[in-house]
Amino acid sequence: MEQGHIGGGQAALLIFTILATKVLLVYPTAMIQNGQGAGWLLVLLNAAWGAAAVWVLAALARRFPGRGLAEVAQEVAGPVLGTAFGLTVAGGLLFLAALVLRLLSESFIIAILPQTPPSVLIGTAVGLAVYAGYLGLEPLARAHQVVIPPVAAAMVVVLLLVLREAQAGWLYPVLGPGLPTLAQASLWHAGAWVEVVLLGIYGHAFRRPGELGRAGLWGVVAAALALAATTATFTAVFGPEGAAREPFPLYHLARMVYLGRFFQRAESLFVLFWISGGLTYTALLLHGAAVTTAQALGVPFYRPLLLPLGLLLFGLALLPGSYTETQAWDALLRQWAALPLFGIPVLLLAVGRLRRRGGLAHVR
Amino acid sequence: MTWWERLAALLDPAATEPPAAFTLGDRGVQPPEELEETRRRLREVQQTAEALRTRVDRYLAALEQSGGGPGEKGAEAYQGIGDLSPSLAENLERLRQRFRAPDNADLIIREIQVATRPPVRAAVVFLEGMAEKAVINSHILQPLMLLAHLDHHLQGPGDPPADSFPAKGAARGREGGAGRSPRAPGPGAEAGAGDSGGGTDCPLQAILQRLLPGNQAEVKPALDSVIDGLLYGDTAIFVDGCDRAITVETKGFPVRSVSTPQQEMVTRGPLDAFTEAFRVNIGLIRRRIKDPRLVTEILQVGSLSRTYVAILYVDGVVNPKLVREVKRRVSSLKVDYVGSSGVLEQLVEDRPLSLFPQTLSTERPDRAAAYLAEGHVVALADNSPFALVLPATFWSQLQTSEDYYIRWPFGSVLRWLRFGALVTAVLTGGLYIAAANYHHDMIPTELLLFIAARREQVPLPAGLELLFMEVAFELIREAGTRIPSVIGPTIGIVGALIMGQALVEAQLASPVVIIITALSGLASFAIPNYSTAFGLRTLRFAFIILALVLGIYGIAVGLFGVVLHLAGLRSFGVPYLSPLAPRVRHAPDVTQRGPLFDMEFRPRSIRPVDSRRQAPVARPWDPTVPRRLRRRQKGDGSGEPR
Repeated sequence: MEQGHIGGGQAALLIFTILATKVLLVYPTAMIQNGQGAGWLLVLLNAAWGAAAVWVLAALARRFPGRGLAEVAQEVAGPVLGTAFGLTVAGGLLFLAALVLRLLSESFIIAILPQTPPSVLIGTAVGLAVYAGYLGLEPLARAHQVVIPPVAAAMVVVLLLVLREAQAGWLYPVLGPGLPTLAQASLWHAGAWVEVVLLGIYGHAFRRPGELGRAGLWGVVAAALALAATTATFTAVFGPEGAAREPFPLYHLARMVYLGRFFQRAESLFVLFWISGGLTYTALLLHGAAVTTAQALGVPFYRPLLLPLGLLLFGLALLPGSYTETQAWDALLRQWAALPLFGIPVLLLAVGRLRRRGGLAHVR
Repeated sequence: MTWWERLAALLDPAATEPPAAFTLGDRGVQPPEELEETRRRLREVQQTAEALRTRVDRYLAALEQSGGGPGEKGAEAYQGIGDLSPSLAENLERLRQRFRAPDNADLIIREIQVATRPPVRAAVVFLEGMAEKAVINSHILQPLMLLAHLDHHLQGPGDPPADSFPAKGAARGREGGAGRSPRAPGPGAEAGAGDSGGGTDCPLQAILQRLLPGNQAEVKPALDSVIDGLLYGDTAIFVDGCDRAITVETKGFPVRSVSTPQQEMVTRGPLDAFTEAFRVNIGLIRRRIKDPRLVTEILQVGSLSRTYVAILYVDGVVNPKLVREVKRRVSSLKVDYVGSSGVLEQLVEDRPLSLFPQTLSTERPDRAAAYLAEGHVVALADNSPFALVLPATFWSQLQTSEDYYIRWPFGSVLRWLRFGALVTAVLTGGLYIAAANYHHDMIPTELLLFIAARREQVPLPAGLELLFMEVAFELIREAGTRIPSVIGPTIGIVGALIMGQALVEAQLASPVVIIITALSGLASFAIPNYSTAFGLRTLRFAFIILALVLGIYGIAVGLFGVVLHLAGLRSFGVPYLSPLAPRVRHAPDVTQRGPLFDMEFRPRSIRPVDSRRQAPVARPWDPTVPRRLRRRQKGDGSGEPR
């Protein structure tokens, strides 16, 4: 399929990126709507589901070292069911990428490019994602290592600079609506962490299967902390009521940065990183979808699939009529797609154990 | 390939299969290169042990003959004991092994017959580029080959008798079955400590005193001392039947007068530069790396030009896989003409269509030597005053030799300044257009009003105005480069000043655009590598157009695309953004320049077979170094800094 390998650090950074990209969208708002002052705590509880998914994927990788999720599905469930499983995962990823891309494009249009049609923004992003996918996983992971640290640093700077506007009182009571309500809400939003399934897809790219679990856990923990910190700052600055009505929390935090008359409007810098994060997310999910499709169809290459899948992504992203419609579709997808996307790895692991499948790929 | 074939290749599964890219990575737990290097080192250790044993045997035999034990007589006996063999062939073979000949083309061995009666076999050995050939011809080869037979009539006071040249039969007898074993006491030992000629059968003393008119000549008993002499430009003479050699001072390596750097100027550091003669260039490097492991292999490229290309590397440091790959690429070229290293660069680099060079071109021998010491390969093409360092990373394109010659904080500051220059050169124009055309609210109000007031009278749109100015700047730069050097700078300054002033007065351009053009142009000149600076200047236009079309979104798309492109590049198997992406453990020598004593390891991204550059404590004299570290190092046997 692809000769390249990624290290544990690179994989952790990839997982962190795709999970933390949610900070640019409505995820913090949704958490505050459900958790009120304890939105940050809800993020951490929610992340536990992501960590659980990583645990399952790590167990799968140990049982089937050197294989991607779709290859494992074929080995465990046979060619028909395995292919169907693989294509389901690929389709889910593609649809998710399309919705996130549309949400990001709409937010760019609202914030910085009010007269630009979404098709232009989506088209350029898809073009770049196809190029990134064509280069392969290794360059994509390396580009992450260059792009993400300044993006993360910029976000930390924004959060630090608005801290003087924060009121700790907004964060009380600590447990918000109560632990049972938070736990229930965290389960309801478990689909927010569905992107961790990429770890399983890139199972073939790890030199040692044990790295997968560690990398995934680091990625989930880092993303959870970043999201929780943003949500807490957002709540403390705007209050639970105000924050629950704000669609782009981080962008509005950046707008509040004021260091004298000249150093204000930090959102200009923020927007640059905002776009970089969104492009990275799209590129990675398209690549993951292409690799999974290739594995599911049993073809030894994925690059020829990039262009058709890119066109499909472009079309899917333009399907929703508006920003609010896209948001509704995203919520629906994450709510229900979480079941197969989390369920498939669990099912594969269980059936694999029952049917005594696994071992090194080359032995088979 | 036509553009259509390229497009079709995107859809062709076979063509889009990932190519079997050359990589230095994924070598497994015990890569073959390291195993081979270990074997080679073991062989060297064995040879060193053999040499030592020979010396001990000879010392003991000399002691026995002189009838003394340790003490004054023992010290006398030790004088002049070496490990050279009486067999000429054996000595030459050991020398070839140490210098990696015949791979190493720099080692020149001229086997001759000394015209004595009877003639004696001998060999004259020197390093190409380090020794003066005219001196060798007139002061060594000519006396030995042509004049030696006349010399037996001359006898000075204290000279050995004229008939003291050994009989031919005696020399042959030594090589035959009756010859001594290499470890047996040699003639030197037989002759006693005071005899520096190598024994009664050996004509070395007579050759030294009568036939060599050189002003500095001495007898060397050990191979190591002969090698040291060769590396410093001496010529060695080995004579069959003698377990010593003569070294004659013939230093002739190029010196500072060759030329000064034109593009890589430094305020502190050597001021010599490569020339068009590649043999001279090799000498300039060899003068800086005095180690027999420095190998020069010479290949020919071009069916018409038959250009010599020298591949230099330090054996035992460089990854052999890298050397093989460089040689494979160079020797496989099917072209008719290679005029310069710039042509060679485009023919051997991984992605010649990229805007970024994947080799590092330098005109400084000190820089090339430093890279060789790190485990890189250096390629020198004949007729070119530039060396190619292989592989190269993106970060190395932003470094200069001066970073190392000044104290570390200043070196770091200079590097950060260059990174700032890079961002300024590429993005300033695009950001201005994005802010002026799309995102007015991103500019502070006072600045926005100032810009708007200055732009009010300009009839051109901001994008066109900036593009026009950028093109004008490039025109001035190009004209300044092409016209004669005496008036070039004048034209550049006068052209820029007058044109800028005239454009502002004619209200064809606003002062802000002139400032932005000048700033980005100036910043591009702060990039030390010419090809990289050119690539960045070209990218500047792309970013202006992207900002014109899509504002800051276009700039972000462009930035991400460039980073992706850089991340996908490789230079001779090494990722272009390494050691930062992928992250490899490295010395503090990438974006900053750390203290020299912290740079213990060679760059791991190029996977040298000997990764340690210096001892863990490079300054053992320093009392501030923890005693624990110094003690541990002493225990390791690496107390002396290398």
